[in-house]
Amino acid sequence: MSGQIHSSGIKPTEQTPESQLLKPLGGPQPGLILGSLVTGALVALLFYCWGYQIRYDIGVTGLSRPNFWGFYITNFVFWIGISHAGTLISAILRVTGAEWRRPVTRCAEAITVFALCVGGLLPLIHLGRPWLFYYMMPIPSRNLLWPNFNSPLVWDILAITTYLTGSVLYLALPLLPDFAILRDRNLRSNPSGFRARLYSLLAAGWRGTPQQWHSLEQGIRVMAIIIIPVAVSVHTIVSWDFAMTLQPMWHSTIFGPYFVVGAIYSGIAMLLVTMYILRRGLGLQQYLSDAVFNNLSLLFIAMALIWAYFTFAEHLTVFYGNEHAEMAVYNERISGQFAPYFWTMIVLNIAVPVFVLAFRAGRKPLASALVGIGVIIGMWLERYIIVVGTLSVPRLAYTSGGYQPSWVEIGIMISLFGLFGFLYFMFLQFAPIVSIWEVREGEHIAHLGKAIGTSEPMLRTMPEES
Amino acid sequence: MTKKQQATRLYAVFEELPQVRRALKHLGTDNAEPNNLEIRSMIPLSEDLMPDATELRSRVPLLAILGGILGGFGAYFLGTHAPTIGSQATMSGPPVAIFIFEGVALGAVLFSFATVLTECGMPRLRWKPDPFDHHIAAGRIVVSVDTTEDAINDWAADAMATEVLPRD
Repeated sequence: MSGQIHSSGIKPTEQTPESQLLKPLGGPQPGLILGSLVTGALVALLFYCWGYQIRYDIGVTGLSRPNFWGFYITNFVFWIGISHAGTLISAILRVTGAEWRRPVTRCAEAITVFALCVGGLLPLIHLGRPWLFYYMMPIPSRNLLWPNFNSPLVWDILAITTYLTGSVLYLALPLLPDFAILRDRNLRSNPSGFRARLYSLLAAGWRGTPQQWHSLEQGIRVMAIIIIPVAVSVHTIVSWDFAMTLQPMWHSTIFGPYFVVGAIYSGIAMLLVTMYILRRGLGLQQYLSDAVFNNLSLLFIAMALIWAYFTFAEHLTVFYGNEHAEMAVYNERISGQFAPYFWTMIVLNIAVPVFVLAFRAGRKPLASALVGIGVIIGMWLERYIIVVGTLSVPRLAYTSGGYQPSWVEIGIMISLFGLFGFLYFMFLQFAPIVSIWEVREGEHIAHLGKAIGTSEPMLRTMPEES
Repeated sequence: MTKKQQATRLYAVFEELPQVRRALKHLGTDNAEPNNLEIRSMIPLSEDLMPDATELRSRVPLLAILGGILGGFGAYFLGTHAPTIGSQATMSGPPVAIFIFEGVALGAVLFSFATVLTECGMPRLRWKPDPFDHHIAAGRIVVSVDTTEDAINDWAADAMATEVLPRD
């Protein structure tokens, strides 16, 4: 290298808050290891339960006539709903230019990707013989089967595939500049280390030139616009799995928007809980601030009211219609075997959020996270009531019957929460959960706004690897 | 310019935007060709920093539309014009709209992503770090330009670090 060094380098700068963001990426952290081990144990439970079901066949579940859909489909709808936390909310906030989105988007988008992975697994588990799944794909199979594109179940595959692909790419694009930051820092501190090589691969040669930034921003903007209708379509199509049948309290024209609203609602609940855990566990109070929780809680309370409106409209219509088969399901919900679940759902999804979040103190991180846990439980109950409630009292009376989940189904349900947590813990250990460049850009824009008419803004520097 | 002078590239690190602006203004009066100028940062900077000749273009929206059209046609033919094999259902009208919609979205997303990568010159698997990449990771701005060594003290006087390297 022939050249001249005009200045020997940079003075070490003081510790800045980014250190907190980079801390989980710097090496083993006790909390993350413990979390990974606990959730990893639950993943092992998943493989045990699923393996047991494959070994002894689907009869080990509580599924039998008329309840051919039980916990698996309930959890499928639940997890697909949870996935609406991230990409949809992130896309809406990006498109509308909400500045407070910056620390939230990545942890939300990661929820989407991992919740979709978990949700997408459930139809395979429910299938009983997962190796026959490819019959649903548009490839010539050995039995000369072709997917029936008239079926909402095939639409599900198309919609979830599209949403998962879009969500993964939408998560990956804004990660490129952050991977480049990590690459450059690791190349400086330990050029031959594993992380330096990993981030060099993941950054894919990102350099931070104006053209790269321009293309990236265009790409993120375009994908945000595309992903919003895709997210809406996904849960609409999931709702059509039910609404396209003639079963009582499934065959409803408002099921599409009702499911979408419920999905966004449960998604925000999961986002609040996750953000609270990240805030406490990783010390991200500066990024996931009270103001962020307050704003998200306001969105949350709005969704609570919209969801309450849909629930009321759905049940009022059935009540006034007074159709025999529908009233049988309705009565089971209001005052029959599903009444405890139904009224618990109403309390957790409407009464508690509205009364707690209406006050500013209720929109603090801990309070809003607790409300979020309640809504997650409430929304799971809603899915259960819809799936099992109708099938237990179907239109053809001679097939009525009950449903009791087996230990295999309960084990798989619990372990899927573990799988979600495990994937999230893994992600935390190789990618910054708050987008560094987006937060920096937000600071830059804020300084720029303050600097108009006075002086130029300054870029704050980060501490370097020693 | 001498042969030696043409074969060098100057890298300068700036801590503040005003310094970059001053440097670029000064550079505009030198002999540096704008096409060889490169400004790199960890966040997107305002376009007024760019030399006049540098127009930032992106075909992402256009190619997203193209991808959407192709994806829509692909989904349509997949559902309705697939090779007839056993037990293939007769398609009714309304479902066609659903899987065309998903095809359009999938095509648009994939084309958007591919266009971003292409426009960024990525993935660059044989990437080599530039001398001041770590400064970018620390939030500073690196300006590099093909110029004469004599020009260092002129336009990069405010830089906190400079380095001259042979051009690739």
